[in-house]
Amino acid sequence: MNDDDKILVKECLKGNKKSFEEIVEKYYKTIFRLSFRITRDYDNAEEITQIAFVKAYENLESYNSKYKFFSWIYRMTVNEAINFSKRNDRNQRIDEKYSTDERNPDKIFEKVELKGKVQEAVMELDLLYRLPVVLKHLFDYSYQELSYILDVPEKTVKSRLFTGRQLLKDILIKKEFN
Amino acid sequence: MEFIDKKYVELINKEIDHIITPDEKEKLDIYLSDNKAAQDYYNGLLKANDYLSQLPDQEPSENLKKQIINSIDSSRYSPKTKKQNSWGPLFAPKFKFAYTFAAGLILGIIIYAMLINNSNTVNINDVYGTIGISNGANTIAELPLKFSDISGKIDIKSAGKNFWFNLDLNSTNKFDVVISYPEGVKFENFRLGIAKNIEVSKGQSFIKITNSGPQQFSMLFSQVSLAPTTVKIEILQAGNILYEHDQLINE
Repeated sequence: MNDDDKILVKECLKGNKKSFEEIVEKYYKTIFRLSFRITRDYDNAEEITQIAFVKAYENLESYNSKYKFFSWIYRMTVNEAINFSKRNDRNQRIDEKYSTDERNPDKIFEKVELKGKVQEAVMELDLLYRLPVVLKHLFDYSYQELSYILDVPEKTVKSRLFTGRQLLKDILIKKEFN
Repeated sequence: MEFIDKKYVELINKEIDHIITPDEKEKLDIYLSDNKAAQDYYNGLLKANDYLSQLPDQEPSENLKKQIINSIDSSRYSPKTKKQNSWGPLFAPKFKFAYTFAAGLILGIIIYAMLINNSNTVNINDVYGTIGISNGANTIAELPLKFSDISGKIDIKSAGKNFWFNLDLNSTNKFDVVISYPEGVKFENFRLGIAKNIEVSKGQSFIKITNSGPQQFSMLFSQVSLAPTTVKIEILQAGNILYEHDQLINE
């Protein structure tokens, strides 16, 4: 699987656009899901997905094949999500407080109270902790892979992941009690 | 609240991540059985993890993939660019005259070879306009083209079991025209009008013409029967499809 990606990347660099289309086909849904889990906003998640792919394509020459290609592109997605969150942090907080969520395609899911609470709890986590929790849960990556994607030492990954889980548990308990 | 040893916090997380060793698991079980706070902590984390698993995945919109592909600068890794980079020193101004002369010579040889080849292979009177079969010919489609640096038109005509493509195209850069056809269709012949630097390759179900500059040529096909059939025409540059069209014949 990973070798296939490397072949596709080589083909892209030779000018074969079809190969990049194959890469997009292979990963765009997963990248969207990751973006959505991080941002909990459908439109933003699509935008992040698009930007991540464009940046990946533009930086294809700098891709180091010792890493898995999808780890590399997830790393770009995470970086883009972080930038996005920083830019929109203030607005998002206001939106979430007052929004009626009418445009949110997540609406049906939101009606299930527990699931809604879980989503809210994830969003209440600081991005620092949300990222390792979401990535670990979605992809079941090793600490080493997470370290590469998040660009922090393995020790930091563990610390943030463990703290993130604990915080999530505490938030959920609080919500259940309320 | 009882204190939870940091070492066991790590083991609990390792257990959740399914990377705990049997030895560690044994130690953890002993610790948990003896520590209510650690048990609650462990169960709470498991529950939170379980809740996360229940979150449904969202699907992106159907056109997201298209949007991504359209937003990519497809010329970025064109073979031409790479070639220029790696052979850059050879394009120094001092070699300009020598290259121009060599290119002219090669071009002359190619055109000469093609003219000879053309007179040997073309065995129909005139595909481009007034060939014998053109009496009663129907124009099936007229396709004006303008994209990238390619402009011109493709006319598709038919008469009985024969149909042909008249291509009148111009482009600064090299491009490919590929016509793919299904079983029951046979490529008959190729007719040059104005054409230079042209390369023709043929597979079992396609014919590909690579060329640049002003080009006029025709390609004649025949069908086994008069049943409707679809022929695909694609125009590519640097491996990228710039244009594709499915043409129904004998509608």
